[in-house]
Amino acid sequence: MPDRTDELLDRLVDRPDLRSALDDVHTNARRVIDAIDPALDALCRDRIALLVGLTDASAGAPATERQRVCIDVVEQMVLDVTGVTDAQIATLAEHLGRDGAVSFVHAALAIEQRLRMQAMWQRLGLDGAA
Amino acid sequence: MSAGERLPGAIPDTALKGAMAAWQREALALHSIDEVTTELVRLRAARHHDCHT
Repeated sequence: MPDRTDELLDRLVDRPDLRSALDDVHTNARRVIDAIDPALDALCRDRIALLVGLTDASAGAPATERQRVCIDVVEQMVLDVTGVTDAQIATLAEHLGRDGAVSFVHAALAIEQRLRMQAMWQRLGLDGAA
Repeated sequence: MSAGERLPGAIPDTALKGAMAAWQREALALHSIDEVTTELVRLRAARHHDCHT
């Protein structure tokens, strides 16, 4: 799933501080996820893009238990964040450590927000593709 | 309840947390949408995220 958000954010020419802040969040979110597993970023993006209706393409399947645990939390965050269970967070912490689990949730939220923004732009016909 | 509250004492990545705080400050500084609509959106999002801050 190509991330066209950079292209869309170019519209924020009159909001350079906001644009810069969004870029900074994205850069740090990718760094956090890449540090866990270089393959995880694409898995997360593909799964989120599918769930928010950005694509019909099926997302790749997790290849490791750690990836599966992470994607399980991401799916629940996107579908109904209040439904994330204590057990899911505990399992995530077992695989990533406590600090790592909290950082991953922050990063996943940042990626989710970015893709939801892209989906909304698409539905509003602001991305030139709708 | 946030993941941080479920894992008390856990420290998120400081650069990412700082970047998210800076972005939220920039978003809150926008005034294109009226205050009532802004607050309604904020409350709805807080409810969706089960956020009580």
